[in-house]
Parts: sequence; structure tokens; C-alpha cells
Amino acid sequence: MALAESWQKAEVPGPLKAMLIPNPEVAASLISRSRNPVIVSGSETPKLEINGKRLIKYVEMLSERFSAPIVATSNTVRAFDEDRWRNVYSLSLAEATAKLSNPDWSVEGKNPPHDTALFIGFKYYTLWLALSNLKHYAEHLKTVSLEKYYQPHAAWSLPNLTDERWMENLEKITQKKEG
Amino acid sequence: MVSKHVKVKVDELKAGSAVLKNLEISLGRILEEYWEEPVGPTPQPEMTDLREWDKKLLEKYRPLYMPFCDVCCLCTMGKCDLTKNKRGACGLDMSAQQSRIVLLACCIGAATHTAHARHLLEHLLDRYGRRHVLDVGGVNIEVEAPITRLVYGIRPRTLGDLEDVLDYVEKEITALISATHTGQEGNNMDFESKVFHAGMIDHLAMEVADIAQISAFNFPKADPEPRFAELGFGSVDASKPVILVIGHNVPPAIEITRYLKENGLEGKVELCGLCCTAHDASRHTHNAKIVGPLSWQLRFIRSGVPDVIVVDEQCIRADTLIEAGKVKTPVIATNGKNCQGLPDRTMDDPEEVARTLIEGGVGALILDPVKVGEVAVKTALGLAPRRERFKVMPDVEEVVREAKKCRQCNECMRACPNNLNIPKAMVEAAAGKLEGLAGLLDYCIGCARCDSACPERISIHTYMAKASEKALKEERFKIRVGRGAIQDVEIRNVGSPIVLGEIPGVVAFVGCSNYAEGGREVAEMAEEFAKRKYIVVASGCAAMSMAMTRDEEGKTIYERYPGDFDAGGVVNVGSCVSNAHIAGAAIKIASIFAKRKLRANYEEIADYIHNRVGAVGVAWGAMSQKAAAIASGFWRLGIPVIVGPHGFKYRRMLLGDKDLKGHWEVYDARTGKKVYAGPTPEHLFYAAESKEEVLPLIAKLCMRPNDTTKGRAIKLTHYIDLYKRTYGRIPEDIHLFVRTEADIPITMKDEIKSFLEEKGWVETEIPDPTLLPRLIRRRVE
Repeated sequence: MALAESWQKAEVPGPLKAMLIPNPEVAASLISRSRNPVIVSGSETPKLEINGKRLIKYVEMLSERFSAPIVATSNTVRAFDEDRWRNVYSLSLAEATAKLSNPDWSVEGKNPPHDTALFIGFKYYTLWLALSNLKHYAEHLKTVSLEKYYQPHAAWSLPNLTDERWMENLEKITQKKEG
Repeated sequence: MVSKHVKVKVDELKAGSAVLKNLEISLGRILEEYWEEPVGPTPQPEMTDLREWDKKLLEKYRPLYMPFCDVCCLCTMGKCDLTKNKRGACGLDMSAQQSRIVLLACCIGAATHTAHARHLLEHLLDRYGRRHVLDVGGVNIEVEAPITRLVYGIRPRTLGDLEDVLDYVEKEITALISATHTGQEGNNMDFESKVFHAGMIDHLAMEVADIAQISAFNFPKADPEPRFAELGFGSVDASKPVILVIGHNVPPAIEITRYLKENGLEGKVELCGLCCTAHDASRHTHNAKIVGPLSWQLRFIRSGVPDVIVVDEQCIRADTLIEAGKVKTPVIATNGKNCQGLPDRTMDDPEEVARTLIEGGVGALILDPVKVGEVAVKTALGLAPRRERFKVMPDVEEVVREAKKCRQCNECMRACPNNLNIPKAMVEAAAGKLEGLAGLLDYCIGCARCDSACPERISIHTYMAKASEKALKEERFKIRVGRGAIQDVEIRNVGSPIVLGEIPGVVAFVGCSNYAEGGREVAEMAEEFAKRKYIVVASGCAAMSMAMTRDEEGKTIYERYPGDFDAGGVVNVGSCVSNAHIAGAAIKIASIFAKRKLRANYEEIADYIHNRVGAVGVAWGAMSQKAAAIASGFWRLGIPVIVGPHGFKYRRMLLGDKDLKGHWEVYDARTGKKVYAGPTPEHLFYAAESKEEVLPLIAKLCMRPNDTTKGRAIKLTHYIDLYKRTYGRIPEDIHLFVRTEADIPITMKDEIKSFLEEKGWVETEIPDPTLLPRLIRRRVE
């Protein structure tokens, strides 16, 4: 399985494909450089575990590490509420996609608007379509997929990974810098 | 009055006193005029006649495009890269290309229903004549064809009248398809308007098809309590010769039942069906059984149970002949649109055709439904004893042996639309544990892309079915057969409570079975809203999926809830083309209850429905172009449609933005003043990620500007309750839906009032809402 190949093999997007995130340090650096990142966490987030660790924990760690608000799609906000996690906003994936394509928008209503959006916890095809919209209509936005499988419509995407490698990546991306 | 030209040409006519040469007479076919209502502003609208109405909707509900493919490959100047809204060689940009593809899909859908309607009508005209009177509900129905009356502008009385309606439909579809040609339409919003036009035309074609077949085949005529039919894999008696019909065009199935009856064979041969032909066969005869939705095709064919397969048109697997060949089942194709490569035996002696099929023929194309009836029955009777050994699933040993060949390459999983973890189940199966494979079948849509992708050619789908064999054999459910139209008296009874909001909504579960999490979600959603006293309506494969869940007493939703169009009713209207009755019911609320003029008065009726009738369509497993066309017909009427996760692949939504206050203003028809009415309904076409997201959304999308305070309070109660249940908190947008304190549900008063205070809520007016300035009764200076 090639690293930068769509997980669902028929999903051949077109000439422009996501840049591969070769290692977690690159992802962390990409996110760190953005002025106002946002995390978009999908309907699968509360259901997924990686080797016994809940995916939602990684989303919360991402939020903490990069001081990024979380947009929880579908009813995912419930799981964050149960974790007593703050800084979470509930929008559907459809609404979040429409909002993110507006260059002046941020979920908290603050300036600067979002220039980077991280995606995690979606059904493969729902995300590829939402990312497709942003690829074509949101030039201001850098989209980063932190999913287990390569997402061709993102600007940057993790490659196709095993659970172990996915976990390793997320652990390193969310690791706080020393000092 | 409608005319259809007939030309008579005489080369030479000799009479005693004269000789006439080259005489040509042109006659118009004249429809008798029975309808005194004056013709409204838009009889037989062409594609730009309702453009202004479409614009009003499209300004509120903006397209969100999610390109499925970044290139266009429709002409030889291409492929063209449209990434990031680049223009192609023809000048089209990505937005226009996406809307163009949506239009193409809707045209395919509309053309499919239309060609079906034409084919069916011609058959019925041959058999019953042009003067056969339309009867969809006897004395209970005066408005027999609400869409035809509204769009085409006539009151059809006979089968012959419907020919003219289809002439119009065909003309419009041709024009719409031509707009997608290179170098034609270039504006995405105009494409979107044409999408709406295709949808409206599609509804017209569906209505023609269903009222024709109801009238001629004596289907239930708007009966709220028609008989029950048996549904499920296990309902088919495999000990008898079995004929399976698949598709949407019912005449071959009807001729099979006729032949059985005329030859004293009723009860001796099992007739069962898949997809809408099954719905319609069950509307015709109590002997027809429904196997299940279209996702059941492959598992049933591969079970070897059918001795003969009769296919007609639409939603039939393209590899039916190959799959049937594996279990030595002959296929009879019955429709020119789906010949399956088979030899045309229409003119041959049925006895001879049956003999060929019994002796090993793979199939035949027979374009005469009467002959199909005879050949199918004779073949089933002759072949069944010889096919005994094929009527079995593979044994467990075979599954284990084959599972051991699995390389764990993941190709099956990567081909699966639902990303099912087949490799894991294969490891378990290789160790003799089939539970994993069995569990996958509940989430399987029956596409068999896994089989196709497997480098070891393991028959994965078959083995899933084998692992679930016991459960499949126990699949026996009851479904109320399709009733067709909604009675006028039912409309009169519910018109007021719907429009005032006291019946909180009409929720229609329609469409195909491309579910992300299995069909049980449709049943659960339907049950939720039936319990809450919404009117639940169903059609097509969704209506079947709803029946495939039982309660503790073993009863299905159709056995637990009444079938009348009233609060708490669960109404199966029938097959795909019966969707016309759902739109028809909304139209009849405007015309019968509200007494709005119906004839060729589209804008006013749509405006009424959009602002007052709290209806929502849910196509949870929608996959086809027909489903797209059906949805677009509802959009033009201003009725929102929700699709399931795979519906993202329709590549565009129509979303409202509740933050843009100006988008939600309506005219108050009493004064002409523009009034903020809140985001009601908030979206027109929306794809959702999960059932949990959809439950409160359905309740929310049932709100309308016209709701009375009592009605709004009821609707808010359901919205807030469902939201709390699935999201675990109260919705953050309640303040947008509360207009006066009287809107606040009494049981939630304290909680909501403090929420409203936090939001700085202020009271707003409740308008007599309209989007049409011409309906303003008195202007404010």
C-alpha cells in the first residue's frame, strides 16, 4: 500500500493531491506556524480507540498543545462535555465546511480568522468531500488531515498508517515542547 | 384545453363528383374540459418560467459544492483541470461544473421515471384503452392528480389524458439535458434552477406512472388500512418453484400472477420480488412476497432459491446474468432498457422458450409481459426439481477453507463503501468462527466490491450470507402494502393542525438502501417520530427497511401504528413512483385545506408549502440519480431533504446560514412589511454524518414561519428534547426559533427563559408569511 494513495482506492481526486506529512515533527511545525488553528473533530471520534486509548483524548491534547478551539461535528460535543472539556463548539460538518470557506470566520468570533484546520475522527468519504470543498473554495485555509488514512483533498495529510504508527504520530504531535 | 396534432394524408381520393389529390388534413386531439378553475399563471412551465421562484430559494439556501472529481472529461477538449475554480477549455468553472453534474444526475433520474411511465402507460393503453377512467381513491379523492393539475394545468380523467402530460415532460427533459452540452449554460445558479425544474418534471412523471397503474391494476386506492404483505428472506417458501422479479416496472409480475390464476396454479408457485417491483406486485396480489430492498439482491440470488429471475428496469445489478448463471437460474429480461445481452425471444412460442430455459438456457429477452407470465411460470415449474442441489448456501467447511486463502491485503476493506473490517473477520473465519462475518452483513449494502477486489477471488459476500444463514431464514416481517394517494378527507382533517404546527410535522422516509450503518437506523428514526405523533410516510426501499425490525412482541412498525395520514400514523405509499403522493399530499394541503388555487399556480402553492407545511424528507440511503431527482422536486416546493452520510457524494448541499438575519425575512401578507421569521426551515438539502445528528435536525426542519405559538411550542419541545437526548445539552440556537414568550414550551419555561436572557433575546412578530410580493393583501405606507 503506497503511503500517499487514497485509502478507498477509487477515490482518485485529480491533479492536486495532499502533501504527505512525512513525520509528526512536520505536522507539529505546520500547526505551530499557523496564527489561529482550529480542530474539526468528527462523528467517529467518540467511537474510536487506538490500542485501548480513546481518540478523543488525542483531540483534547491537540487542543491543549496548540491552544486551538475544537469544532465538534454531529453530536460529538456530548463526548467532550462528558470529559468536561471546554473550548468546544458544536457545528455540523456541513456547516463547519461552509463556515471555514469564509476567509473572515473564526468559531470564537475573534481575529485573526482561522488559517489552519485540523481534521480527525471522520468517516473516510464524508471527510474527503468536505476537504474537497475547502481545497477548491478556501484558498486562505491550510487543511491538515490527522486521520489514520491518507486524505487526498487535504493540503497536508498523514499517510496510510497502522494503528501503532497512527498512535505514535498522534503522541508525538501532541507532545508538549520541553522548556 | 390540450391538443395533440394528428395528420391524415390522402394521395388520391375519387368520388362521383370530384377527384382530390394530395389531400392533407391536420387534426388536433381535443381534450374535453371538465375543470372550471381558471388557468393559473404557469401552465406547462418551461425551464425559465419559474426561475424567479427558484432564485428566491437559492438566495436563502446557497449551494455548497464538494467536487467528487476535480476534472471534467465530458468533451474532447478535455480533460480539464478545474482545481481551485480554474476554468476549463469551454469556459466553465468548478461551481458550474458541479451544478451541471447535479443537473445531469437529475435529468437521468427524471428520464428514468418518465421512460418507465411511458412504457407502462403504453402497455395499459393497449390493454385497457385510452378511455379507461383514472381512479386512485373512488369517492375519497377528488383531486386525483395534484401535481398534474398544478404543473401541467389539466384535470386528467382517463389514461389517454396522461399521454399529453408525458409529451410535455419529455420535451422538458430534452431541453434540460441540452443545457448541459458544452457551450450552453455557464452559470451555476441557472444550472441549479434547472435542477429544480428537472425535479418538478420528475414528480410529474412519477404521478403519471402511479395513478395509471393504481387505476388499471386495481392497487389499493388510498386505503389507510390495506392488507399486509410478508417481507424478508425467510418469508419465501423455497420448497416451491420460486420466481423472483426485480426492478420497477410491474406488468411482467402482474402477468405472472394472472397466468398462475388462470391455470389454477396459485399457491403452487412462489412469486417474490426485490425493490419496487416487489412493492407493486404486493399492491396487486396477496400472493406476492417482498424479499427486501435492493441491497438484498445478491445475497438472495446467490442463495440459489429463485428458480427463475425476471428483471424489468432500474436498480437491477448489471451482473445479474453472471450471478444467476452461477446457481443455474435463468434470467428473463423484459424491458428494452435492460436487455442483458440476451436473445430476443418475444416472437417465439412460449412453450419452446420455456423448454430452452429448462434445458440450460441462460436466459431470454421477452418484451411481451403476457408471454413473460407464461414462460416464467412454465420454466419455474419445469426447472425447480432439477435445481434442488443449487438451492443451498455453501457449507461451513468451504467458508473456512476459502478464508484460509486470505492474504490480509486489505483490498476488500479498501473497496468497501463502509470500510468494513473484512480482513479481521476472515482471520476469525479461518479459525472456524463465523460470527465476525455474520456481524458484517448487518452493515453491508450488498455491492460486492469486496469480491471484485479480492486477488484470491474469495466469494466474501456469499460467505457473509452463509454466516448469517440462520438469521436470514428467520427474516419474516409484515409490511402494510403501498396505499397510493392520501384521501382528501384525511387532508381536510390534518390540514389545520399541520399548518398551525399542532401536528409537529410530516416526515417522509424515502429512497434507496445505501446505508452507512445498516437499515435499522431508518426503522429507529421512523419509530421515534411515529411515537411523537408526527405523520410518518414511507416509500421504496426505505419503507422495506422500516419493516425489518421487530419489537419484543415480534411486531413491526406497520403492525404497531395505524396506516392513516394522521398524527402517529405510519403510511407506506408504495414504490418509487408513489413518492408523487407525498408531494401530492403537501400540494393538497394548500389546495384542499387552504383553498389556494391549484391550476397551473406553482409559485403560490410552493410558497404556501414552504412557509406553512412542516414536512421533511429523509433519504437515509439515497444512492441513485432517481433519488436526486425526487429530492430536487421537493426542493422546488420548498421542502427540505436530509440524506445520510453517503449522501455527501451527491457533491452539493443547499444550506441556509442562520447567522445571516436578512436571509430569513418574509413578507407579512397582511401588511407587506418584511419580518424576520427565523431560519425556518434552516436548510433545503443537507447530508448528515449520523443518526444522532439527524433526529433533532428533523424536528428542527419541521418548523415554519407560520407556526402558531402552540404549534411552535410543540415543535420546540420535540427539537429540544431530541437535541438534549443526543447532544446532552440544550441547543444553542433556540433563541432564533422563539418569537414570543408563548412559543416557549411550558415544561421547559424556566430553563429556556434564562437561556434567552443570556442571548439578549427580543420578541418578534409572527407573520402571515410569503416570499411573493403579489400575495400581499394591503401594503403599509
